Amino acid sequence: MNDRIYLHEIIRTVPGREEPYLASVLSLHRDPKRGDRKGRAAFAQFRSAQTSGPWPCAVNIWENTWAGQTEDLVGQFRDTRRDVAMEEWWNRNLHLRRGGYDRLLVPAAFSPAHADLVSRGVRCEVCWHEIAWLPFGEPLKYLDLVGSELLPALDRLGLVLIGAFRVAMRPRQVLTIIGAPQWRQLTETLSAAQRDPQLAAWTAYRAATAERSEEMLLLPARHDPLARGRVP
Amino acid sequence: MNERVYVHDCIAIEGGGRGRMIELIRSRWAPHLQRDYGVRLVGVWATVGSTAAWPEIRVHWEMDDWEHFARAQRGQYPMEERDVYLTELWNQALDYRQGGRSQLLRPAPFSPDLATMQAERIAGELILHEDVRSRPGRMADYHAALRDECVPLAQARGLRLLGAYAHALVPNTGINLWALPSWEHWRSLMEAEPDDRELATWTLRQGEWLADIDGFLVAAPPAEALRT
Repeated sequence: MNDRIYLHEIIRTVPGREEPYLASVLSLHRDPKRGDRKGRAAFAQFRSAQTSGPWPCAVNIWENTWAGQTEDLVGQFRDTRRDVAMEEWWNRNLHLRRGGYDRLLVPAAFSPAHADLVSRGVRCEVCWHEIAWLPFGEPLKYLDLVGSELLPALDRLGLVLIGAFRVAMRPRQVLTIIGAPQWRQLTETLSAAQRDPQLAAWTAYRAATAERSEEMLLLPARHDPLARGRVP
Repeated sequence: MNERVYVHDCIAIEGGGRGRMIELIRSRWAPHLQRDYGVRLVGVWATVGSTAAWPEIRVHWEMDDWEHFARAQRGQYPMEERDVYLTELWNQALDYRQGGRSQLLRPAPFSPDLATMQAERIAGELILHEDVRSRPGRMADYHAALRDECVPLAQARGLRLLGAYAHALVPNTGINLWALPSWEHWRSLMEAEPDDRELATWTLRQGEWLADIDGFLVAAPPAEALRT
């Protein structure tokens, strides 16, 4: 049971500055002046691959709790609890990014927490990131089926679930991230989508249910624990 | 019966100019529009970056009726000919924004106007903004259900309706604004949401009238404060 929540950010980076931006975010996260912010983890950081969806962009995902998230927002919007280190960082890095779009995510019970991914030593060359718009009332069923139908097929094909979430305050949206240790496993999965019976059943359900989706193929940031051969 | 007319601006901010843009609107732009045209500022808020697009601000204006709207617009435009001061403010704001997107809104009949908001102290530390897209032709039915079913649910959870609107030009499009008393109250709502069966029933039922609804938070930052 994963009882955390996640802040998901898609950032429009300055072209060519994706990795410096991601590293600068890490520097803020590890800023010792912000050591009182317990319980937050850098769940994953990615950059776009120029193969699907908008680019260039970066994706940050932070693991948190509603209490921690509220504390962070209070720090931004109440003068009494300003996060000065974050403000300084924010203004110092304007040359790395232009803006972004955030969501707050609530995980499916089976969605792994950051500690789970780390302890299992999960590594990915590429991740398939999807935001899907479903009919009202469908997201919980969709996520249940991700757990019961999609995951066994992915496991068989050597892929791994990085996260499966619904989106807070946006009742039609779900967000899933599937990791491939190597590109080959992703392409084998795409290739098997119609002929593997389990995968074909999932693919048919997804096609019949998702009224819209935004797909991105993402690369873990070079310093991210998910990255193969990561830069320490 | 609210027969006011509203304009809702969504303005993408350049770099670190969010606080300065809000301050410009609060201190100079809004007083000018009120003084010269009678246009009232309902609110100017920063989009809360953890919940939607950033950096961005939202500005919500109220006019008496369509006649007032026409008079106010005619008085302002073309800006360079009719309002030198507003032109100067518009150009000064280029340091903070390049453009935006506005919606011309008519209120649902039960939506409070600014005078009512002030008289009944309908306000909060943060606002839940909902972008609403109805199924074709169902916005009025949605608003009726919102009034009869959703408003009581929301009030029982500490939310107060600040406004429910339909786009006057774009069919099947609208926005809802709800005032929440505090960040801590928002946190308690989010923590309770997975087990709130009444709310889940309403969420599912919205599909009868709506094609989509997207919620996010906006809040008025303190003067001089940032930020994302």
